[in-house]
Amino acid sequence: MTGDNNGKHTPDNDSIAENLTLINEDNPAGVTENEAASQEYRPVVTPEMVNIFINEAMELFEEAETALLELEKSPEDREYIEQVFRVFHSFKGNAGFLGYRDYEKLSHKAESIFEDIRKGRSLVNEETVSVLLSVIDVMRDGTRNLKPGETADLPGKDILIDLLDNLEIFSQLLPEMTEQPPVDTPAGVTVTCTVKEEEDFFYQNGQCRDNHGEETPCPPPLEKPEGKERCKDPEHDAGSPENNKKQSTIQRAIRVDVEKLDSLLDLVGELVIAEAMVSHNPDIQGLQLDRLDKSLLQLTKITREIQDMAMSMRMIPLAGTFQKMTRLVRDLSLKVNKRIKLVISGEETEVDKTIIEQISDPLVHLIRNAADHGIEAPEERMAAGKPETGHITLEARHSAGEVLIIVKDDGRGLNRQKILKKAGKLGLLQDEAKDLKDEEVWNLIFEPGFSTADNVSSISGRGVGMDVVKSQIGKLRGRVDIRSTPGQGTIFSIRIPLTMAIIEGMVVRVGKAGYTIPIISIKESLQPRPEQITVTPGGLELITIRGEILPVIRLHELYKIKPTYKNLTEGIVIVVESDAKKCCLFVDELAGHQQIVIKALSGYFGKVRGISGFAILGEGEVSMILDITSLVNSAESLLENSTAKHAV
Amino acid sequence: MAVRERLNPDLLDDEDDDDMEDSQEGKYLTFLLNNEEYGIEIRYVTEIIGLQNITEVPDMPSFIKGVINLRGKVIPVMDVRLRFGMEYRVYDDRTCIIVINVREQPVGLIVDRVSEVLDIPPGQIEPTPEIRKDRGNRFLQGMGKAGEEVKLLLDAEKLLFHWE
Repeated sequence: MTGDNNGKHTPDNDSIAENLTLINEDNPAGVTENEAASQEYRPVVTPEMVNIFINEAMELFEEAETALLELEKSPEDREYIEQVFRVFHSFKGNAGFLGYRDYEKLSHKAESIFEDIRKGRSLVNEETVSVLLSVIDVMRDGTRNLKPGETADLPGKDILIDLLDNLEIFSQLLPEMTEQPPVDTPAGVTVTCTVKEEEDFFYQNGQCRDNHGEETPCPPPLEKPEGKERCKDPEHDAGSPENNKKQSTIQRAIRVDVEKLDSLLDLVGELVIAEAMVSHNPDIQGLQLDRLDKSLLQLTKITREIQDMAMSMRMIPLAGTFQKMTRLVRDLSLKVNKRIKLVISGEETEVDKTIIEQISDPLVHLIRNAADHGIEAPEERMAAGKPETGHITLEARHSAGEVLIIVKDDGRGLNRQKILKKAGKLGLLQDEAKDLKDEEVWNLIFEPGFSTADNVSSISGRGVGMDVVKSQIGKLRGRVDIRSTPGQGTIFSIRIPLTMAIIEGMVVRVGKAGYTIPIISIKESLQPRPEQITVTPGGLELITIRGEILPVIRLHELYKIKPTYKNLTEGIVIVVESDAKKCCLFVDELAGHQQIVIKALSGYFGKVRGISGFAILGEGEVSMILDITSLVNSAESLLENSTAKHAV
Repeated sequence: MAVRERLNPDLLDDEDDDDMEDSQEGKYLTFLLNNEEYGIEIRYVTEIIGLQNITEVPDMPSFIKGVINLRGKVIPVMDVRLRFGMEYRVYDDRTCIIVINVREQPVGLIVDRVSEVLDIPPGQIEPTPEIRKDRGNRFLQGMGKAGEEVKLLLDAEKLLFHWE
């Protein structure tokens, strides 16, 4: 079944249909032709079929949405027109076979509009796109909630059908009006036009049409296969050279349960460790075993390749997520009456599936903010000597083990005064506001309850959002930086580690224990000289590095283990940073860095102080991953306590 | 007299198939602690492994010895002796880890040694005498009679999740 699921890319998507026909033949249930004709045609719908239908429908809708948005930019593009037509056609077929009449009707209407467009009898305009997008939205919401054995009523379909009918009238009138943009025609003109159009359509669409034409008198089940067969008429096949060409560039894919994928990853992690255990087995150390060494080398190589491959299987391009933003910006620009163009680049950048699932909401927030607050109204832009159309740029690229996602607008930029005023009101300012660096001021907008918008609009400005953005990105172990220039716009840079499952870690030793520190948190490591060390009366140790005074956390004290070295000058001090706050961690030695597979903390433990998870090291040993953020914060409170004590 | 089967602990790996569920009723895996025999319901047991490198985890009660790497999964291990308030005994080559799975939570139990799988029908189980609620007694489910011997049957849920 899974193989057939590629229906998304085939013009006639009849995997469900075929399935159904089979079931029907196998299970005639004694229904005579007469009975069948008098009854509504009721196929045996299994829950599995409904699921396949839903999955396929989601893909189809996404495909159509993408194509429609492209069509809005280039209304003449044959390829996209064909694509939309195909999607509605396929969906209509699927819905029809499962007996979802409302969906069938609606998608048929949509299909016929594109039939006209295909035939050059009508043009794509903004309204076509808008109406069809809302048709897709309604059908998508409905489809998502479909349950086996339930009838599928589509609330609001009548309004949509009316809208679609109106569109059809335009196309009918269009030949006389030639290139003129269609105007809103009163809905009254309808009846005759529509009927004529219907006949016309009948003629044009030939046999395929009868698939639907039989809608009122329902076809006896036995004829169904033929009907479907006929659907693959030359007309559709005519489009296929193009389709074939397109198909060849589309990746073939199968659906795999994420859990299976994750257990595969676990196994691969094991394999890597087992491989290391064999290659570095003490029994063969120091022996001259040329042939074995060669084989082991080969084993190592293959193991690494399997590992890379397994990792890449969780990686998905950002294109789907970015695509949703195109739609968002389009809807937003209509809503706020601004001209906004979304420029996307790097959508092919691949990131871990978890990131895909979680990055969408933060991006929506940022883009909404940019559209609502960032981009100025057209008049204001003109007055400022900027192009009337505002640009929001959404960009992604890989950079040093991280994925960098940039949301940039060329709007008015953040307003330092307003932010400071608001922050003052909220009691967020402790220091003298003038002393704050721009960066620090911008970061204030991530505080909970912060919103500087003068008018709270329906789109953004409820003051929830930015703090959510930050916490969501934080969950992905990422961070957000803001840069903003008044009058020129704002840039949000989101950096997220490429994958959630693997990090580059530095293994450090304290006594017998091994801890792992994520490399991205490490600023530097050093062996301090005696003159760098200061001890406060409260017993807090400080190390001065290039003028910066940093508190020291002794890991062996924190975790009550016996260290090899107790003297700061003998061991190693690692400077770690989180959220622009730094501290020093004192350890015995560095034991080398490696790629580590992160294992979540067992639920049995609850939360462990300063530990974010476990890692399995090359030798199969379990090491704890240090939670640098919480360590840095605890160091800071140590520092505050000790200075407070000192002051008293 | 109860039916006895001798089972190589290594074979237990295959015991936890789903279709074995029915036949697991009334079966207990017995192990030794301080020369006393204890039993735990076999349906909780996923496997028995030898002692492994244990990584200590900070801020844990003393009976949580740390975590082990069980084929790529990191699971906590508990020293059952310490859980019962018995004295620590140096691990040797008979020391075993019984991996049990309670509420989807795999945990390893460190025991002196594993002995056998026993059938103890419900009729052969007596309630724990209410004489003294000492530390160990809280985790008992009952006393199982197997021939002349008495096995102390553990309540796995309480053992793992009962915190005072």
